[in-house]
Amino acid sequence: MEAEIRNKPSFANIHVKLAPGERIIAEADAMASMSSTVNMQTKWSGGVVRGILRRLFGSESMFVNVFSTDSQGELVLTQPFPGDIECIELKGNTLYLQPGAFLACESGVKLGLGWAGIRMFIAREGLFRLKVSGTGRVWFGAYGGIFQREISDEYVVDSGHLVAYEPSIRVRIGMAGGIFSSFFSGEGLVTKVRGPGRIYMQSRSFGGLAAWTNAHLY
Amino acid sequence: MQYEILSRPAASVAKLTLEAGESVTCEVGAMIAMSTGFDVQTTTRNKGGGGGIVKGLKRMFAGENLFLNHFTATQPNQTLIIGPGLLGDVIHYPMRGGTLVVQGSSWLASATGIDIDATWQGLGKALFSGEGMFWVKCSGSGDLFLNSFGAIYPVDVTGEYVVDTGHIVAFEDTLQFRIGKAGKSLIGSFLGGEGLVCKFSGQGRLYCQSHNPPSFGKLLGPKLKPR
Amino acid sequence: MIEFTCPSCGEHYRVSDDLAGKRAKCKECGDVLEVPMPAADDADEYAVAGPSAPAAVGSAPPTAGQPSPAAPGPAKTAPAVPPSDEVLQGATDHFAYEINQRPDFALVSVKLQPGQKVFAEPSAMASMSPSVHLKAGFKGGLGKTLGRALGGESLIINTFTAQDGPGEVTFAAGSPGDVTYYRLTGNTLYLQRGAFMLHSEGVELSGKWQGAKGFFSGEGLVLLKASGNGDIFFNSYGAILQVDVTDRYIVDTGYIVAFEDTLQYRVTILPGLRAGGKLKTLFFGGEGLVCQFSGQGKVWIQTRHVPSFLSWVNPFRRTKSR
Repeated sequence: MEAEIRNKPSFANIHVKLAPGERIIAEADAMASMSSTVNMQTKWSGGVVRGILRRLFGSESMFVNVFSTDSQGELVLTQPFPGDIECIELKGNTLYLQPGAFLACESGVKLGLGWAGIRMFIAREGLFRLKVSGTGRVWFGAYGGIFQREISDEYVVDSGHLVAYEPSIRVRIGMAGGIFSSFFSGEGLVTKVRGPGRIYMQSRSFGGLAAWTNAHLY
Repeated sequence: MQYEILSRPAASVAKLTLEAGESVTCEVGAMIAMSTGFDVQTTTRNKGGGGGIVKGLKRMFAGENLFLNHFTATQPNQTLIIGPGLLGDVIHYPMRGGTLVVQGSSWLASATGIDIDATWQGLGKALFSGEGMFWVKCSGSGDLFLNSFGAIYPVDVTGEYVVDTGHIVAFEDTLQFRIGKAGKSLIGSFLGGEGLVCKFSGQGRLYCQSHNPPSFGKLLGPKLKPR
Repeated sequence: MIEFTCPSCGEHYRVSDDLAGKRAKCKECGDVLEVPMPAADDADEYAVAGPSAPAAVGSAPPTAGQPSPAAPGPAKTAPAVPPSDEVLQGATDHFAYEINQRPDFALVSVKLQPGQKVFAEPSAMASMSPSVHLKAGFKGGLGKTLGRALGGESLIINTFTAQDGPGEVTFAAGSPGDVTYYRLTGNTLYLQRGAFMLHSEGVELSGKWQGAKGFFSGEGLVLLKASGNGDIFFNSYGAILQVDVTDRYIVDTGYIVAFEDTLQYRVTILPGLRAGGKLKTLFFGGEGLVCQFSGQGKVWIQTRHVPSFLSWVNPFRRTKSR
């Protein structure tokens, strides 16, 4: 299955070419356009109970669409927001994604829910993180440009700027500075990551966009 | 009129250079910067000389506080920079006869020789009035500027092609189209997040945009102060 | 002469103008292609589509389907400024810096040696090394902070200092857009509200506002003044265009990011630009406020407009329950 990420990083989208028998699974709202030879089927993702949980607390919707074709077809997948898309080829390994980052995957990839712990909830990132594992390509995206960091010791990341991380990374919530500074600086709570491992960051945060917009509204 | 598209691909603007007597029409608010040798008129209808015939402007701007600006250069070599409201790209489309149907918010500017008809309801008024969508039929010859939310990609339709309605920028009127559901069953497509789609058939070129504003708005809106 | 490439195989052609619009068979791959119109500029608008745009058949307009996507920045002239997505780097007396993810989601990375510091807008920090210490504070004394409040920036300026070792801090604005670095050498830079991001030691910030008219017109022309000797970074909504004014130039006030104090400026209403009659705009778009610059100096313009964004997002906001 040919899949090309275009227009990185500002309005990244995926142009997919499907051959008979090939399938791609994508987030509910992801289809921008497709040839009429492509079939689209809606499925619950991960079972009913988990689907509901995710709907209530996370930002992944309950449904995914499965695209396939009997002959051949093309489709364009996209995200609701402007930003970057990355593709990772899983070979039995695992990656953790922040809510809202998952876009699409091949059939050999398993999607699961991980509990990010109560401290993540306090940081308003949602109770859940999405666990992707198995074999095949997975596409994830974020508002902003996506870049990687190899972490060997410790690093501090504003929670809204963390997209994904390898399971070897240990994650905890902490304060940006002392109590006074953490509050008045506007930085608040941050995510402290400890390596070794790789993290993916985004150069904008949705919360930052909302705050900037709110500052202009009355 | 000369043009240059700057700051691609996501915050694009069109820099236009006009000679004395040349003019261009765009919506109020599109002007970013300009040199001083311009005569500027605001109008809800074409006054002649400021571009082609404009029909249906009231419908075009129903509920929106927008009017048209006609910029006419009074001296040689005047520059004008214009841009759309949202992030995205701008393209120049040279019209040479024929008709292009443009999604309302994707029309940025047009020069003399292009007629604009905003009364066209070929895609069904009822379906789009909720989303605030309207369509502008452009015909004639001259320079037309379109904008998009996202990247623009053309599709040369030779069989049948399906586009989520929020992703249509413009299409040639040689194409046939009908509104339909994306998936095989009604329930499937409704729950699956793809609302209505437009199925194009025939021969012609279609311009799509990679992103659509309502999806972005629905995600951002709830995070903002209530009004 | 018309120069173009076959959209299927990329074979290069150069034909005389009278073949414009004619259909032909590619000598290399045999696919049917259409000779584009002679105006060289036409090529660019299709280049944005990427490699898969096939040649059109029938009454379609000419399709010079370029196989490679358009490069950012001006199309034809050799750019006098670096391409807009280039990573900008530098080292100053105060720190080293890098600006990545340009021009739409620019991220500033400041590298500090022990003892070095940078001053930042609240909430701008995206990530930092643990050796960097964050302190929130009021900079400049009460009078200056009041001025800054009227200038639209908050009263708080955060100080990031590398303590136990060298460290790095990355900063991101809330809006999508670019970041520009400017070096103050004893002169003054005026910045639109919301544009200020970071500054080094040696720079003084104060609020300046254009009287009541500027204040109540939303964006109007509410300005911050930055002066001294040092480094300053400012951000935009949309991309940044730098204009070197040599005589006179007019800019809609909502698009001004910053300008040098060597320019004279005057905020006026350009009657032709006003949206006519008794319109009441909620977010101050279309009232025709422009800034007329004269003299010599640089003005930085952004390519998107905050009031337009607010008008667009307004219907998506939740309504207050009564």
